[in-house]
Amino acid sequence: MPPKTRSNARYKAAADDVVNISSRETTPTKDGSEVDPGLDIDLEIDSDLEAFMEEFSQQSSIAHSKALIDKAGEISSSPASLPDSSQRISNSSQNSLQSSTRRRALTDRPKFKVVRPASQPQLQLQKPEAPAKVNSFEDGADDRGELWWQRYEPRTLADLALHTLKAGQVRGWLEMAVDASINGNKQGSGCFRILVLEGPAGACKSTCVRMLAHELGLNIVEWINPLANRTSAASQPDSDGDEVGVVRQFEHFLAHAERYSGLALQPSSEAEARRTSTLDQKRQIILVDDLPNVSHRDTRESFRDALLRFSAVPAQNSFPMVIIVTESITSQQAFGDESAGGMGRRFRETDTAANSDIAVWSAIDVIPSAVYNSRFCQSIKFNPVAPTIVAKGLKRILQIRSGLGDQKTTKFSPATTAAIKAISDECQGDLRSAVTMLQLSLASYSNAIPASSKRGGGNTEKRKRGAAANSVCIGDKRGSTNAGEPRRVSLDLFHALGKVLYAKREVPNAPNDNSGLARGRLESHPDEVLDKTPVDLSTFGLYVHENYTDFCTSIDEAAQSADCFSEADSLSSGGHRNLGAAAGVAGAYGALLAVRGYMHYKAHPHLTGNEDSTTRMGSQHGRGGMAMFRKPQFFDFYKRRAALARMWDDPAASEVLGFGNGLLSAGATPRVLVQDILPFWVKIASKREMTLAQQRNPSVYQRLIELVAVGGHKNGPQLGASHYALGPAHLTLPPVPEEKLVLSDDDIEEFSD
Amino acid sequence: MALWVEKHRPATLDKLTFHSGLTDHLKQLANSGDLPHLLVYGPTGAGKRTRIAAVLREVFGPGADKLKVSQRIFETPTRRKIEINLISSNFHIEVNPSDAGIYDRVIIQDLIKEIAQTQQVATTSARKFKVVVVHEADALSRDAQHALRRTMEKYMGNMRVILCSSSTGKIISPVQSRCLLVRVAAPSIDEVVDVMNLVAKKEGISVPSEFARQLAASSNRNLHRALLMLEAAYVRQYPFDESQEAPLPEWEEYIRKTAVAALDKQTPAQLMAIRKQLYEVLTHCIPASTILKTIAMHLIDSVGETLKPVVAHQAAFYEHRMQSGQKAIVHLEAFMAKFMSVYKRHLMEAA
Repeated sequence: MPPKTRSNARYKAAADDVVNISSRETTPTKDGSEVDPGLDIDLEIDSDLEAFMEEFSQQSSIAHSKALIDKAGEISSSPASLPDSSQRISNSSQNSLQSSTRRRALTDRPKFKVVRPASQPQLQLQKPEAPAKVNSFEDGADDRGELWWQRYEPRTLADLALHTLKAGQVRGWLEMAVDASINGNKQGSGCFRILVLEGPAGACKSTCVRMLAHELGLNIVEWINPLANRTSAASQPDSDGDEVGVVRQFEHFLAHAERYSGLALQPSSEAEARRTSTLDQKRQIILVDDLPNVSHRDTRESFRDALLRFSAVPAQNSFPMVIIVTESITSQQAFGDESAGGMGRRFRETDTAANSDIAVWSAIDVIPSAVYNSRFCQSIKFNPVAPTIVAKGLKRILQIRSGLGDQKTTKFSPATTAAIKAISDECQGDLRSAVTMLQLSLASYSNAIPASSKRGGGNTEKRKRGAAANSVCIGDKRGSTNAGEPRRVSLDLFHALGKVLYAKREVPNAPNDNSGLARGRLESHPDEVLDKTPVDLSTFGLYVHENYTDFCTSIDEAAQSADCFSEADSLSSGGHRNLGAAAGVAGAYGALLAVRGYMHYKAHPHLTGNEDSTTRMGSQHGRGGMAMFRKPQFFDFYKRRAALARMWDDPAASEVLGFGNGLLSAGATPRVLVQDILPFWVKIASKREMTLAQQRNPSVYQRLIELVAVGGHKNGPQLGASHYALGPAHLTLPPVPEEKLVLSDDDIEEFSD
Repeated sequence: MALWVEKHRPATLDKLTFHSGLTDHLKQLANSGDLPHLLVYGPTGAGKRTRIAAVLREVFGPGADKLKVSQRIFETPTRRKIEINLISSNFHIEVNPSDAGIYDRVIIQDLIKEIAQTQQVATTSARKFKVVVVHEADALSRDAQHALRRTMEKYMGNMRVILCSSSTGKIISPVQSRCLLVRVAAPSIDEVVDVMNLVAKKEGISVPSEFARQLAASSNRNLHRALLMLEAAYVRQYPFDESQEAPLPEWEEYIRKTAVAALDKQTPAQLMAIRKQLYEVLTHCIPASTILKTIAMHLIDSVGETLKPVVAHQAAFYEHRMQSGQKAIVHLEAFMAKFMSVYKRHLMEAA
């Protein structure tokens, strides 16, 4: 095999350059006659290699190769060699026609790391980034396959789209916390254990931490959710299912991060080694950006436990932790922990299936309140990035792309400015999406777009205008040709509700129609409102349903609207058939039917007129007062009923009532129990028996009584036998807890006229 | 404390008072040495369970009365654990799979297999088989019923199934055809009155026949409820007064008030108040269908002849919607709104 021999010879030569050749390499043989045990494997690797190198040859900067290495394999084993190898790979990509052996020797390492068992997949080292990278941005650099928000990540604090005060807060915390972990005996040092950064997506939370860590010379140990282990069940020490396994790994991660920090995170280059003294080896923070799947109940609970344990460790024995919680709105979330113990016993009625709920995903959901409210934990809230700052960030990117560096004096043409303004108004303070929008809007112009100050001329103007129009279309499905008029991606809840519930109409443009039936067009298009609701459609439907009676002036209107809501519900749930993939479509139709139906019948000429409009809203509307939207009672109702429904097949109930096994052996189904036996029991039982029952188990008795007391005083004092001695005559409608149900918002002012 | 309903429940077939033809039939069946699968159906309070218990006693002897309640944990394919209450004697086991929701198939299969695979151990038993009583069989999902179909055949050797259901409508026909159908009709007013008198005699009280008839009527020929009402009325006031009101459960009183509210005023604001009341009743685990029916019946009683069919139609219409929908409140409210709208128009036309 002459070729093989040659390559092996070259291999040896190349191997000298390589710092870290693994022992698994085949023994190089000069003559090539010996059968190489690793030959097959090598060939196989070679084909992988080709692809790998292909990828590399398209990239040039160090940042790229680093990113790819991150992707290709875990780097936990040899963090020190990382920059070296990436350097070398980028070199090799420049003279990409090097011999295959050299390539093999170089790239065998990542391959090898994939093969090795992922013992500590979570420990990923992120070194403080070198500020010199700014220079790697070059005009017209080929950026295929990379998003700008990654590529043009800010390099200095000044570039960070964040208020300096906010950055100062985080910085202050980090300094105190690191200080505390080094000199643990300081007073109050125990307080700086966990920092929670809350804020919407794209508000520079992660970037801020990384920037500051770099500036303060801190190492970051970051938790990355493992993915690969999912398939290899054998490597899972526990069999409790994947999610719980993940959390267990999280606990290991925390333990490792605390214990082995100094060893695992040796400074890589000599320059850094000089910079970091032995004391500074403790300059490290733990970053949890990628949260485990906390919507899974078991995972959430174990995650909380892990955090609790962590917060109990004294500061000087550990490192401060930064948790980044991205706030978002989720739907279809279960009803939280309040329903204690899950919904095991569901009421077998049709309406139990409706458990969609609006849940604003926030730090409270993730961090256990015992930790969140403790002195160990501080939280800093990030606001959405202001449009002006977004614009500043976008301009900076355009400047870099045009090769002008960071000169602040660059002038943009009006069209460019308009495009930037459109994007920054549209992005809702999400800088990441703003940058992506900018990239997308310029993507169709394949060559690098220079800042218009360079080229100028009508051509560029047009392009920019086109770009602006594109970007507007991103946010607005209906499409708009008016580039100057930015549209918001979504409305807030009150705004959307107001648009539907008021159903304002334009002045009818048929003045000659004397039938009196002519109505103007709706001012806000129902489709558009539904497109932009911040919550899911079924929740939005509940909000509309809760509030529509306030806006109807006659019962006929209300009846027609109610009919639409009813039909919408029955359509969108599809009866007992499983709608499968069509469920989404049906849901959309349902919501549309409900909203359009209501808007159509509201103030319909056929239905109004004969009414003494004494409704509350009617008068308020007329006066121009403040409208109050109520939160749907549905959520509250659902929780309460779930709590009560658990009662009836509780074996304790039978004993409490003094039936022994009698109740159940009589074959009392839940329905009979609730409808007949319990209500009559409270009428039949004597005071003595009730007292006995209460003594047997006060809490069960209390809930049984509550179950019976329809319209009773649920929030009142303890109900006892005396309450029922009164008989049903006392039954009155429960007082409405108004202040709980009413939502108010300053925004509301703008829809009431 | 034992309620009269429990205390005076007839334990043997001989003591059953009404449906004597059916009783004879069951007696013959029980004494024939074998028992087919049974599907017992009929309205609530007609005596289905009492008859099942009596048949079991007839078949297995007094041992079938020694019941114990236990909790069993079943594991679903998704590894969710479900707790189910089981009532069992040495000879039979009773289960209410509606506790398990959509996982009833697991319960049915596991439970029946387990019972069927263990032979009858008690040597004193005259029978080779055990019995599984499934309450609320009409609430079984289709999956569970199909699972049942196969198991019923396979383990016929040492297991019998008694299904108890309010109607045959929701039982799939393959299961029906494997069972002997036993219909237990609601007792007539006279039969209810007879039973009440019997109980009254045992308790040593006397019930005026008019009052007994009134209770029987307002209980809807539901014997179970009639006896509860009798006892509640006895606690409230004894000796009975002919004009004494029949006691109603609180939820029913409350629902009637809701119906009255709709008759009283027909405005959107009133509709909102009604919605609150509907939520209140639903919260207390009263099934939505029951609420709708109670309200509709009350409204039908209260409106004129021309509106009666309209109300019935609307009630049926929204009941149907409710069955296919998910949020009962929406449909209940739509029914109320519809009624109020129709009723208001009717009032205006009459004026």
